[in-house]
Amino acid sequence: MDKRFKHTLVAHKICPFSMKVLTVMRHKNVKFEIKFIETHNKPEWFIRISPLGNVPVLIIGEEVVLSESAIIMEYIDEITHPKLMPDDPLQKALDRAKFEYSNEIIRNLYSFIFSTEQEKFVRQKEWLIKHFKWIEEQLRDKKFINGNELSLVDLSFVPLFVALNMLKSTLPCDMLKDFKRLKIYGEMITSLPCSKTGRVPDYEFLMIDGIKTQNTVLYRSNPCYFNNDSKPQGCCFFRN
Amino acid sequence: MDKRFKHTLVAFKICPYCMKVLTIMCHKNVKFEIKFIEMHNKPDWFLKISPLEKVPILIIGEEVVLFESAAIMEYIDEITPPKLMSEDPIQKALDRAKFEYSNEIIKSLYQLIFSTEQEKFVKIKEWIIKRLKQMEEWLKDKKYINGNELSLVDLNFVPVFVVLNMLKPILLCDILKDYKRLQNYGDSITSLPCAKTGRVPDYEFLMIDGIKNQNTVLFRSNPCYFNGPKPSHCCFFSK
Repeated sequence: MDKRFKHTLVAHKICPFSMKVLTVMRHKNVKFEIKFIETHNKPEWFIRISPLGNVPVLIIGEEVVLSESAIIMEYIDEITHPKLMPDDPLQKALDRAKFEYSNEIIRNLYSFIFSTEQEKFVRQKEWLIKHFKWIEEQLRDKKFINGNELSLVDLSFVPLFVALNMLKSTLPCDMLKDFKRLKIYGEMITSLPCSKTGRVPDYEFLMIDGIKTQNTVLYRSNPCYFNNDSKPQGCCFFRN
Repeated sequence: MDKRFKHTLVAFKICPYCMKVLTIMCHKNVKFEIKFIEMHNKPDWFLKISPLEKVPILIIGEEVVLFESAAIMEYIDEITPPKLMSEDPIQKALDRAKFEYSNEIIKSLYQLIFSTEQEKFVKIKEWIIKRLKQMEEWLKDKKYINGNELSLVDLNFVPVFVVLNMLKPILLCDILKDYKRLQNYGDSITSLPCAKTGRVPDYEFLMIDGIKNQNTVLFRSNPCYFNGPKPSHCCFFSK
């Protein structure tokens, strides 16, 4: 293979933004190599090439470095036909805004999952529920976010539902319990082949391990779930 | 004018991301209305249409709402040919990464300006200088960031240099003093007509007012600048 076109994705195993890129790459059958790095111990070569020190980063050939998940996703989409992105400038702009919106939600969800402070935890949960409500409205009479066709926006939301599914199986607290459309939508996009293969096999394990070892509110309120005791009768934290 | 195509930009007066959009709208001669809102008192109609409660947002016609400065800028560029953005997928991706890079620098500059804690101020200043060093390298043998032609990336950096120009007399120690190329570049892009008209006339006044009223490190280290005759040297960055 011409070395100029080799794609190397630099990622972090539980990084949801890396997961977005992996999902598109799987969906579009792009051949690539993944280099995993530790976020708390970034190698020198990575710091040198990544302007803001973030993952994911896509190295094309030996020298070209692309960063930012939304940007990498659009690039992959453009070099692999047929394109998922529309041609209409307005629709493109709306989709790009939705990429960033999904980033905010994902950022807040991760902040919620790894929160060590109870007050912050409660506030983030409220913020998330507020936004789930908003997305629920957007999905009215629609199969996918933009209508009846899968778009890049839907792939952008995959990590959100992968993380929520992980939480569901860990704790008996279904954050989506009041949101029927979101549940159906989430099940559908996480059933896509690219969703299943667009992450490391140990993602759930590493997330649960992180929740436990970082002494998070989630862990402190439900130690039974993390310590393999028999399942308790109710959710210790989210009493309704 | 067909109401479906009316462009209304919703902005805060001192928001640098709004400034980016204003800059390109002036550059491309787009007709639009601006609605200014208060950052700390957002109206209900705004909260209803902006899911993340951020500015800038561009309302097209009566219903379509765009948000994210980069998305709005690309949209404006696309509907007003000739486009500044390249057609090449890799170049587009590299340019978009620079939009985000400029956002990070702008974010840090604002954090620096409105910082109330000395330690944090020093740390942010160091981070910014590191990034400026990076940019100085990018500009080697180049008039603009992407070469000899003005691009959307350059318009993204306008707020950075508007802010640095505003800071120059306050800090008295020019952050750009070791970066000749950046100084020339900054002068060149802030002299563009769109850079001059792409912000509110009271931008500098409002920024300086905010620096003073929020009891920032900047204010505390140079009270003379804000309250009276210019001092002969920088109180804070004594070398």
